[in-house]
Amino acid sequence: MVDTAFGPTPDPHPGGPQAGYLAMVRRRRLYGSVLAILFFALMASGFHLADARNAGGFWQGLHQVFDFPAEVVREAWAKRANLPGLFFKFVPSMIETINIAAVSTLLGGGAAIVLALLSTRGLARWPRLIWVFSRLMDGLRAVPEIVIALVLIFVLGGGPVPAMIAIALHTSGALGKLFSEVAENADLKPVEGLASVGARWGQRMAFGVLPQVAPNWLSYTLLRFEINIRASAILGFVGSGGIGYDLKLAMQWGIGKYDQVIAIFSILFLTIVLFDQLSGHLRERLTKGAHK
Amino acid sequence: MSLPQDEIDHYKRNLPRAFAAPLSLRLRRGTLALGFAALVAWCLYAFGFSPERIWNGLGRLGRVLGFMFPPHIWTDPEDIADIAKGLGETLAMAFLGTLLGALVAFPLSFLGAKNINRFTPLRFGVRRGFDVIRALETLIVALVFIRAFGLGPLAGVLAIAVGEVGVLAKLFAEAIENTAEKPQEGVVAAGGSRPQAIRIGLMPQIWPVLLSITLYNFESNVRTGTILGIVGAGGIGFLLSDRIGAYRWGEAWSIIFLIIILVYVIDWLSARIRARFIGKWEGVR
Repeated sequence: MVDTAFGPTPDPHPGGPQAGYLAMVRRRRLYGSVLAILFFALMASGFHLADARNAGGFWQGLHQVFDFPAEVVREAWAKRANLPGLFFKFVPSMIETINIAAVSTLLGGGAAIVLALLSTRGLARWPRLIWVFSRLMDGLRAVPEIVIALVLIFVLGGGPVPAMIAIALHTSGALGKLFSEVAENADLKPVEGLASVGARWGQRMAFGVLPQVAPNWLSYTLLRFEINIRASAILGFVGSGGIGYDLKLAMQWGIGKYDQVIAIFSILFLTIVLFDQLSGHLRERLTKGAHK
Repeated sequence: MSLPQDEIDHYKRNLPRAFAAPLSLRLRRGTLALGFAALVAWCLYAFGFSPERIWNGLGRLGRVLGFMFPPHIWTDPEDIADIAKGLGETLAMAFLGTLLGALVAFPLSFLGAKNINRFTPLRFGVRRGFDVIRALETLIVALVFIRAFGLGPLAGVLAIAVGEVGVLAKLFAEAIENTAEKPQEGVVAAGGSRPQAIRIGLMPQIWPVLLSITLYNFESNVRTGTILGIVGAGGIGFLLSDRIGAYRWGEAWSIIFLIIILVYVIDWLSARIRARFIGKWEGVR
């Protein structure tokens, strides 16, 4: 035996593999519990801090969580005869909110296509500027819509236009990144073929890349439209048009307009659910094909 | 080797469909494009969009942007502490909200997973429950909590947590459904009970995915936290809307830069952690 010449090989796990395994399990449990304790300590202290920094305390407020909704529902129930009328009264502003989302998705999506193609390796018009365009998209994406909107409301005044521009800017950054990721995986052969017969850059993109990426891009755009509906409802809250603005007015008024609050809540809720389902259905068809 | 023009014309005449899409398709495309263009045009008109307004706005934008440079740097230690606290609060809001949501969502997700909860009506009910929670806008929930707890980060934490329950429970349930059955069957075959099969056969499969999902949502909640701050739920957003309301644009710009840096750093860190320990998972809500 060769082993005897070198002496017995030291057993890596004295006590057999079982002891080694158990030691590993014990070590992992120890790490796990230390992490868990750390986590809960962080959480408890953070929660305590949040509680202390808040205007009202958690425990005093806890029983009030349902007070406000209950109050709202009670008043709305008392005035339930008004609800259908109010419902129709707020449909135009809901449509305005949806329109803001639609226009900003279209404008932002258009900008995103250009930005994405310019910043995708292998497709870019000016390969040296890829860095510039991808940083530009990062910047557009990093600023929350509401911050852009706050600046634009100051600059342009209230109304739907600042909201539209703010969402479009954010959308172009967010969609641009997703578009570019899809385009990166596109097959380059059609592009090379088009280049070899003398197609210009625009033609190469339109006939070589777009047909490959269109279903995925459309799917992302639909998802973004869904997100933008929520965003445009929120932006109304800081002072630019749509259903959010009505909601803010009704909530600030307080008692006496709670029937409006309920009407707005329910119309907003229904719209979000409707578009959620619609876009989910369409996206499934786009990515998996019409006939399953 | 290019073809002479008359040959091209010849083929164009004889094979029209090779050179242009069929009429019905062209019609459909045209209508779609026209419809979108009309929508944009009509909306711009209805919103009162005019070049004049943009032109006037540009002047003001220039003035506002002028405050960006040189950037405002806080020198008073009290101000610095205030801003740092705001940033910390936003981070804490996102962290606590995500964690709280995850803790509640975790047990619920088992009820919504097809391979754990085989009682279909209950599972359907739970799933629809997730949908309803997800449709509740975080901002609206925050407003309700602000009414109950007063202005401050607590309302933000709870609002994020409520929203997260719906999102995380759905994603967790999908992760549980996407596991392999075999390890669980093995545990049962070796004489383990059903809870043991879940603990030993299923949990090791889903841990990394759950962690990854939670981190990703933490990342997006840092943004949400900023937004909630603007409506009064504490954090850096609150300071920002305060400075803009007081027309202190120099400070406002510096805060905006800090927010961008914060979001960027968190994104980068979390992407690194996810890639290093967990592997890639790019989620879309």
